[in-house]
Amino acid sequence: MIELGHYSLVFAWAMSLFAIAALWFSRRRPNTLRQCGYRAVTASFLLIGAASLALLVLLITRDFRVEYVAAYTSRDLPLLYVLTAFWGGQSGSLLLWTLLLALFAVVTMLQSRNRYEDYLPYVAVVIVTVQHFFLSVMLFAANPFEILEKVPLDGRGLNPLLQNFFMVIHPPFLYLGYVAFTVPFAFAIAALALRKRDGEWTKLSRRWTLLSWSFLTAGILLGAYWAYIELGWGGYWAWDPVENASLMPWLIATAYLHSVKVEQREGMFRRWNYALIIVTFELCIFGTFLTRSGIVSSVHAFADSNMGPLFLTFMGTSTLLCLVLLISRLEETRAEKPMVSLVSRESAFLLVNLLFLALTAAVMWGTMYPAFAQAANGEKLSVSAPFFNRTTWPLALAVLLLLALGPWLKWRKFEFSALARTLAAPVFAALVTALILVVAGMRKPIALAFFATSALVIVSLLIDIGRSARYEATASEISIFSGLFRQFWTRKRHYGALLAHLGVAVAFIGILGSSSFSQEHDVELKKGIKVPFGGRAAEMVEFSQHRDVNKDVVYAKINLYEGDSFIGQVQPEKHFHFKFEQPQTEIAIASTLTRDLYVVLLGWEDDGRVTVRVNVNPMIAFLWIGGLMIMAGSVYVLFPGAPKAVKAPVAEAQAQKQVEEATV
Amino acid sequence: MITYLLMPLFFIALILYVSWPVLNEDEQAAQEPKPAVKKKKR
Repeated sequence: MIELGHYSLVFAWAMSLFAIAALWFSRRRPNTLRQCGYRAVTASFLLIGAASLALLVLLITRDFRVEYVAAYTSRDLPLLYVLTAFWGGQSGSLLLWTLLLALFAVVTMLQSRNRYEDYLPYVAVVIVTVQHFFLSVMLFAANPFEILEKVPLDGRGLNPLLQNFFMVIHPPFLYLGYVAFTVPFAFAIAALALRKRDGEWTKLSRRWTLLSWSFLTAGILLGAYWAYIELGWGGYWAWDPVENASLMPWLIATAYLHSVKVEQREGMFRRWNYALIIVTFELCIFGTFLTRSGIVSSVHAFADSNMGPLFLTFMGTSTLLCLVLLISRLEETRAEKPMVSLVSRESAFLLVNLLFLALTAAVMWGTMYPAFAQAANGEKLSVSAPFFNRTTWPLALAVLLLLALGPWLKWRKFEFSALARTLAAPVFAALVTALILVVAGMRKPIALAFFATSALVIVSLLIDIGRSARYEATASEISIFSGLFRQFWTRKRHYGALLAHLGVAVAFIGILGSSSFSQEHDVELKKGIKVPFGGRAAEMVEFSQHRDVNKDVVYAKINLYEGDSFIGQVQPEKHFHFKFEQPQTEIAIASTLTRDLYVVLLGWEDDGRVTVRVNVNPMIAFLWIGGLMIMAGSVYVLFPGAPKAVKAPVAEAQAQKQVEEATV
Repeated sequence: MITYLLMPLFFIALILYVSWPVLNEDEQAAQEPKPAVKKKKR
C-alpha cells in the first residue's frame, strides 16, 4: 500500500504535467492531443484517488511503518477519528486538498465539454496547474507516505482536541470552500486569456462560486462552534491567525458575490470582479500556506516546515501572471456603462465592496504584523482581540447598515422621497429598539448601534417580503400566504439572498449579545451546598476521579438554578491523556435561546472543594441560528429553479414588474 | 503481493486510456468519409 500510494502520487504528478502540456498546445483547436489531455485529467484524478485510498487503508490498518500513520493514529483510536486523521496532519490535509481539486477538475470537464468548449482547455490548464503544484509540495516537502526508520509499537494518536464530531466535518468543509474557488478563478483566467468581453464567465461559474462560498461559510461556522464547545475559554472566535486566514477569502468572496450581480445586470465592475476572484483564490492559497508555514504562531499551525518557499514562489508567480494578464486585457474588461449616480444601487454595491476590502486589510494587517515585526527587528509580538474588534466593528456596522438601505435604492438614479417612505418603518423600529435598550440599562454605544441596525435590517427585509407577497396575491387573486409561497418558490435567488441577509442580522445580535454582556464567575463548590453567583446558583452533587483506558478522568456533576428553579444538571470534566502533556477540558453547557451557562472545571482540592468557571453568554444561540439561516439561504439559491409550469400565471409578470418598481 | 501485481496493471491501463485517442487516430481517420473528388472530364 505504501508503494501504491507513493507511486500513484509520482505518476499523478507526471500525468498532470502531461495534461497541462497537452491542453495548452491544443488550446486553439480541438484535436486528438486535446482528447488525450482531458483523459489525463481524469487519469490524474484516479491516481490521486488511489493514493488517498492507500493512505486510508494504511491508517485503518495502523501501519506504523508510515510516519504519518504513527504521528496521528494509535491502536486505541476509534475508527471515526482514524478517518479524521486523514486530514488531521499536514501532508494528509494536502492530499485531501489535491483530491478535491482533482475531483472538481473532472466534474467541471464533464459539465462543460459540450457547452463551452472554447473555455474548457484554459479552465482545465489552470485547475491542473494548481493541482500539480500541490502534488509537487507533497512529493518534495510533505510526503504522506514517508517511511520511518524505526517502527514504533504504537502511534502517538490524534490530539484529543481534534477528537470531536465537529472537528471531523469542519476541515473538509473548509477545504471544499478553499478548493472550489479554484473553479471560478479558472473561468476568470480563461475569459481573460480568450479576450472575452461579455462577462459570460460569471454566469458559467455562478454555481461554483455559490457552492464554494457556502462550503467556506459552513467551514468557518463549524470551526467556530467546535472552538466554542471544545476549547473551553468561553468564546468561539479568538482572532487566531488561521481563523483569520479563512475569514479573509470569505470576506473577499462575499464582496465578489455581490459585485458580480452588478456586472450581470449592468455590465459594470468588470475589472473589479476579475480582481476580486483572483484575490479570493490567492487568499485561499495564502490560508493554506499560513496554516502550514509556521510563520505565525497559532493553535492550528502545523510545526515549522520547509513548505514556505514553495508556497511563496507559487503565490508570487501566480499573482504576477494574473496581474500581467489583467493589465494586458484592460480594453476587453472595460465597463459597458459608466457610474452615473453617487447614491444608487450600484454605488451601494461598490461601497459594500470597499468595506469588505477594508475589513480584509484590517484582518490581514493584524494577522501579519507579528511576522513583519519579527522579521524586521526580532520582536516577538502578538496582535490580540481588542485591535481586531476596534478596527472591524465600525466597518461591520457600516456593512449592516447598507444591508438595510441597499435593497431600496434604485439602479442608476436616486429618489429620496420613495426611499424615505419605505425606510420610515424600519428606522422607527431601530429607534424604538435603541430606546428600549437604553431604558433597560444598556450603555455601550457600539452594542446599541448594532442592535438598532440589526432591527433596521430585519424590519426592512420583512417589509420587502410582505410587499412582494401582497403584490403577488393581488395580481394572481390568491391569499397572501399563497402569494408569499409562490414568490418564495419562483424567485429563488431573491429569497435565498433575503434569508441569508436576515441570518446575518440575527447572527450579529448573537455576536453582540454574547460579547458585550457576557459575565464570568469563578465559583467554589462543596458537595451538597448551594452556592449563589450572579442571580443564579450551583450545587455540586457528585465529584469523581477515575482511570480510563487511555486517560485519567475527573468530573463534577452540578445542578444549576435560576433563582429557585432548577434549570438542569451539567457535568464538566478534565481529561489527562497519557500520550499528551496538555490536560484537556471537556466543558458542559446549559443552553436556552436567551443565554448559555458555560461551565468549565478549573480545579479541585483534596478536601473535596471544586472550583468551576461559569460563563454566562447571553443570546449566543442567535449566532448559530443566524449561521443556519445564512446556510439555508445559500443552499436555497443553489437549488435548481422552479419548473416553468409554476412560474406560468399570466399575472406573474405583471406582479413581478410591480414588485420590482416598488422594491428595487 | 496482489498489490504489486495490480499496481503496474493499473498504471498501464491508465497510460493506455490516456493515449487511446492517439493510438486510434489512424483508424479514426480511415473511418472518416473521404471528401468526394470530382473526376475530371476528359
